[in-house]
Amino acid sequence: MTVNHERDIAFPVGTESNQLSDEQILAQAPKRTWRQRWAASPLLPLISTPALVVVLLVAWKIYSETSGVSKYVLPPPEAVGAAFLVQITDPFVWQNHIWTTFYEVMAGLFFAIIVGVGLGFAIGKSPVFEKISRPFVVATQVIPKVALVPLFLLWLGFGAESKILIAALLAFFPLLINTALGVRSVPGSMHDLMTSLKSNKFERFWKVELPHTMAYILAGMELAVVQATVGAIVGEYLGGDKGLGRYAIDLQNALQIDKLYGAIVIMTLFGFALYTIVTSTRRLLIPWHESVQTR
Amino acid sequence: MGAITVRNVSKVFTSRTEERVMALREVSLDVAEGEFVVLLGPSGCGKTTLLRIMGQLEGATVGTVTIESPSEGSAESTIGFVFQEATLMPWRTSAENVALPLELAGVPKKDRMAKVREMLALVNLSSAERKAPQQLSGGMRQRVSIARALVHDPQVLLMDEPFGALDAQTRDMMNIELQRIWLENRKTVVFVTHSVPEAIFLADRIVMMGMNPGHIHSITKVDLPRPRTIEMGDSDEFRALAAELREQIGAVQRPVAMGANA
Repeated sequence: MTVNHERDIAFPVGTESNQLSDEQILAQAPKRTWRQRWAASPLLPLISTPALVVVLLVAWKIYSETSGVSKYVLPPPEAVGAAFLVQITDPFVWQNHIWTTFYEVMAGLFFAIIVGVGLGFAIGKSPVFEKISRPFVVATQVIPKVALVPLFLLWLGFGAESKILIAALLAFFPLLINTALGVRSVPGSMHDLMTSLKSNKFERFWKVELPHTMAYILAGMELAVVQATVGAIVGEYLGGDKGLGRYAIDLQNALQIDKLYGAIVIMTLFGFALYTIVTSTRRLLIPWHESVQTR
Repeated sequence: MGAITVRNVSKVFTSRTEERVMALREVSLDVAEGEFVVLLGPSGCGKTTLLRIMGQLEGATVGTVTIESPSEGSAESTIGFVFQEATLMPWRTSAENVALPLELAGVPKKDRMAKVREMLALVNLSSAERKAPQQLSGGMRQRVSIARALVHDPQVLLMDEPFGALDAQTRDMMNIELQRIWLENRKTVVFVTHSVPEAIFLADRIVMMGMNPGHIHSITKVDLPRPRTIEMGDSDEFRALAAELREQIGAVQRPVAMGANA
């Protein structure tokens, strides 16, 4: 039985091969659409982010002009911009507030890493330890941590220590969970390999468990850095005289609303900066990991 | 050096519910120095368990395994293990992966590189020295893992279905490569597979294992001349042997009559 394909195809089908050149066939392949090209372009966020910020600012400006909203509730964007420029060039803001919060977040993260990664390894390695410690670890997370702040102020005073403790308490949990998961997900064959090479526990830790778990620890760090920032700023809201949280409260009390908005912009940029540091650390510490590979 | 003696090895696994399952019963086997032995059998016959006991990844419940040491009074015998998956560390390059056993044995850094290069050349992967495992194909990864298993010059090489995950063409190629490597250095090899042609292609002797509980059913000598070629698969001798082995697998898989095993 013969089948005539001629109707289905735009080109006549003959007995000879090479009726069409390679170029002619290649030319029939559809071009990539602009959508596909945009999705792959590294330029996209560099264009879309400023564009969306501008759209937001314009909408804000139009709303504040036309709605008759009080400038104590929503100052116009240029007033906030001017206030922000004054604040960000003020050495007192840097020394007293930005630096204080940065110090608290970093110290909080430091303790969170020690406790979270340490406990995470212990829990990941030992099912017995996990069963014993789990109720207590969960307890530290289910109690409303903000409610503990007055207690921490009572114990540690109004200085940085109480905020460091809150930051650490909020940040250690994602580190612990991710570390435990990482340790447990070391492939069994990798353990077999190390056993067949008669390696000891230290070699196993340094050559397999730690490098494997590093990817998980850094995933936990992305959450931890955000949590630590929240912890430090909430702590400052509730007591003390320094830090970005305190600064926002002071500005609200003084009815300097344009500067209050400016302080929020500073906190946002502060968070962005810390987050960027963590994600760049990923590229540095686990360049081999698929989460870092470019797609 | 490198002869393996398995004496009356039984293995019992205890489940969570304290149920005891006998995976191996009274297995004895002698592997001569420089011999290539293949463990063949249906899934669940305990061939991997036996290999793991030989490699001291697991202890025998009863019985002993001894691997002859290189010389009297010298250090423990060393083992090169090749797993079903290549088990390469993604944070290390090919060369660094191959160097791992030397690192663990305390060989100084400057002495490692020469040996690593020699091994990568042996498995025809000199060009992949600096490549990450993620950049290599499945067959290349398994070749790196063979280089790693040989780099510390172990007495025995234990291979647990190393080519099971590869496609048929790559598998044939890897079998030829493995035969070439083995003919070069004549290690004692124990190789687990459930592929009959692979077993015949590689083995000096094929140990057929039966199940419930795992035991040695029969041992078949393969007399085909070396180096063997893939084309030998079409020879009458090869076909007859394959047919016989398949029949044996069928026999050991048949359910045991009630009471016979009680």
